[in-house]
Amino acid sequence: MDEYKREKLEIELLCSGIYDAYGYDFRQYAKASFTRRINQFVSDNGYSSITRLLAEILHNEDLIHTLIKSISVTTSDMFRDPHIFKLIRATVIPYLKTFPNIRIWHAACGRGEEVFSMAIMLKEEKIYDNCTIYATDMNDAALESVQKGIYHISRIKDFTGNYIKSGGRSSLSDYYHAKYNNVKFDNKLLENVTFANHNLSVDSIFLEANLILCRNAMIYFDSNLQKRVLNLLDGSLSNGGILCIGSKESLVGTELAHNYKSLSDGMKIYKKVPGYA
Amino acid sequence: MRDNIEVILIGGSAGSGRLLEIIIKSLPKDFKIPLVIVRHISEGNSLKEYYNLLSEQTGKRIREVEDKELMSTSTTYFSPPGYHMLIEEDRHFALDISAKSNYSRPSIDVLFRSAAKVFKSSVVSIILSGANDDGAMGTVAVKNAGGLTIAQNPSNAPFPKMVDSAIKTGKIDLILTIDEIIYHIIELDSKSRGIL
Repeated sequence: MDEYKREKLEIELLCSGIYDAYGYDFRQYAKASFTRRINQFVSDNGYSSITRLLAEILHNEDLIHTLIKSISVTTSDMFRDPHIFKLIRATVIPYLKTFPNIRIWHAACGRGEEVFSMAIMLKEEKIYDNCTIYATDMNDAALESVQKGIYHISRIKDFTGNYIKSGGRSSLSDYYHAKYNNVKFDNKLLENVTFANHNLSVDSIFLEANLILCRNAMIYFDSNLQKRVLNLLDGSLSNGGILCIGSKESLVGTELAHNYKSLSDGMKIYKKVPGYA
Repeated sequence: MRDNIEVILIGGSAGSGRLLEIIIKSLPKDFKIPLVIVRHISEGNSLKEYYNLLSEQTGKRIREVEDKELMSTSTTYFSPPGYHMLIEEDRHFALDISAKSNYSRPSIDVLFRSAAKVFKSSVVSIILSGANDDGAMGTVAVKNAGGLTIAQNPSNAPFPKMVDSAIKTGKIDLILTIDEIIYHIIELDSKSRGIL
């Protein structure tokens, strides 16, 4: 059997096995990068094939959590794409200020770099106290790690550079304490944050938000699942609300395109204006 | 010579910027085979404006890839800084910010491996100047899938380490100067359109 045909079949069997056994749905993940991460996991953990991995998963429930933790992509930086945060500070915050209660959703928040970035900005713009912030991810280990607020000290250089570029009003070091090789961000930044396990590929609408950030999660989904997620985000956003997606993701060609108006050319941040185009 | 080439992959790192520009500028306007290029540049340095300028100067379609973009002919694609770039079976590009490979994201290996799976013997890979080992494993994948593998002649490469690593795998078909690379891919393009 052709090596790549076999690999494709093994990936299909793995996805349907995981779904039937545990309800995690990877069947509509973009195949190329999902396969790459599975192959990495298989070789890092010494399985002789993807099929062997599936057999182990079916017999060992703990392994599915290890797998999810390992293949979830949690790479991010604080104030990643700082120009987006700059735009949010200049344009979105004044809009949010018009509401007495503001709801913000960080969908697929990973290790929380974006949650802390936004919380810092909301504090600096003095609207944090009016905000209810939801941070969700399918990966429980990631959610636990956000709540600890600990990052390796080697990341501070990039975090700080981005913070400055984003128009930070103070100094990033005001918000963390360094200890040994780590920094711990101030717990007060998480006071208004509610954490929940939410899986974009299977779970449904749970709030109506004024601002939703869902960046670099949809790149891992195929176009059908991407559609589902966009509809989910759309249904969770109030009219006039703001949607921010990843800098290489796009609404172009989706059903949502005609209801969303870009706040700035070339930036992936949109205002929901039904019937806009 | 092959007549079924569907895509040409190029990996470049330190010292490859000028070479890539020479290659792109030297290809005829009606060059059809898509060029898909991973070039190592540091994150946050989008070269979109440069690509637009190059596009204006040459009259060719040159793009920094967006997620789910469909690969089409007569187009040059560059990976966006900070993202791995892969190709799906249905010829859409897929981006990915998972762990770096060879200290690189984008990684040449990641692109070459995914393209080898999809295009098998109808892919050409080219390794240019660079100061690391990225692209060597990808070259192996392209060769094993039946593709044609090319390395820039190391004596002409400003930083020869990357080409040397690819050549050391024993899986390089052709070692060529930049002029020869240009000549060769123009011939491949003509051949695939039945002109030669």
